Amino acid sequence: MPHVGSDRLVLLALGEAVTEEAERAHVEYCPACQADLTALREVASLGRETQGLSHQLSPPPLRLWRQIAAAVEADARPTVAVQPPTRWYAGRGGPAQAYPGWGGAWRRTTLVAAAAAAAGVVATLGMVRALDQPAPPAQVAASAALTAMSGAPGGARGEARVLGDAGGGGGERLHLHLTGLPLRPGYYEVWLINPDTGKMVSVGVVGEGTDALLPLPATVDLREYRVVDVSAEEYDGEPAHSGRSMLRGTLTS
Amino acid sequence: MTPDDQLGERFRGGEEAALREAYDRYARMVLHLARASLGSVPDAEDVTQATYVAAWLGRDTYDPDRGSLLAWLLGIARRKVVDRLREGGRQVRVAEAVRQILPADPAEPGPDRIVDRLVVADELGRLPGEQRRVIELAFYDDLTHQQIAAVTQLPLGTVKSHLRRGLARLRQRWEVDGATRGVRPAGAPRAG
Repeated sequence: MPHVGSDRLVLLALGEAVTEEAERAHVEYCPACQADLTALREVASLGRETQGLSHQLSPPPLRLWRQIAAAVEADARPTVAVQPPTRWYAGRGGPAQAYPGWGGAWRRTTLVAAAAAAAGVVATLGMVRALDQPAPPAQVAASAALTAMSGAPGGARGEARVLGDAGGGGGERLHLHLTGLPLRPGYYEVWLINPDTGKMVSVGVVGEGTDALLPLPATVDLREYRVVDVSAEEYDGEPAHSGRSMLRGTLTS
Repeated sequence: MTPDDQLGERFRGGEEAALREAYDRYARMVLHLARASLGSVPDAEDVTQATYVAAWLGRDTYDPDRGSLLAWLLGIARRKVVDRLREGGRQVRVAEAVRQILPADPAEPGPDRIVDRLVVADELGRLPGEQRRVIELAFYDDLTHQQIAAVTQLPLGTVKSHLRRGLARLRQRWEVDGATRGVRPAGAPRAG
């Protein structure tokens, strides 16, 4: 018997006709007809299953796009001199041991950081505290120059510094020095973004003043969450990133 | 070249508007796959977000010749869904979430089946209007050739040709996109 004709295959695939004995015998020994029939039946079956599918496809919430856009912008920022993070930087357990070249500065760093801790900064975990002066540079474990995003005024910029653990169990902190951000209803929120996955964590809110010191959650790996982002937020009860990034930069150690 | 090919090229080329377009067009399908597989809306949104970010960062690896952008996105989402299901403690959370949000349905298809459906549905939506209508009457209303001809007042030969060509197109898309995911080889070419 010749191959099963294409119109006939359609009828068989749709179940409109039943395979005749001669066809069955042919298909059994003809790989081409077998492949055609199997594939068309499968496609027809999938096609039938798509009934009502479009009604199940609900649009994603608006914030999802905002989060994607924010994460993708993080990728678009030029990252200058990205170095592989040191073990010290990554490991939160024992700060001093694996960091090469830190040397004698470590003790001084610890003291300075301890002073900051004593000032009550670390105790106010989860709160933002404005500082009168920028932190001394010696204890900076990583830093990022923050540059203005498209929604920000041209003069806006800032600097973010990761300050080492003060030794009092307070963990690392993020010091921010921001300039040129306009006064506006709403507030600015600081995020750490993992540009590889688009996930982000909020590390605090920047209120009055241009300096802020935010405790960093110990569960966040700064090798991954290495993009610092300052977003303009409204008092709208929406906890997610607004999608309006004002400043951004990538931490380098 | 179909609009999707152009979108795929633009996406691959790093055009940000193409990312938005790919999101507007396909995010609900990615979300549907994740939600149907994970049963948790927050997890599904997480996967959708991670899928788009990963796709954008890895846009160089998308090859428009090897499959549609939709299938590529769904393939990424599918892997993320599987990863998530494998994550230990997460399973408990997923199970919790399933109980709270969606009634568990043991007859629910796996991620692969859902991907196949979404791809076929997408191609069905791209068929020319009359051809699509004929196919839908066969699929959804279970009408025979003759009944379709009667309902649409098209000649029987036209109905046959719509069904043949429409099915062939769905099959081709399904095979090409399935091959992209590496789960099913494209069908052997038909001899004679």
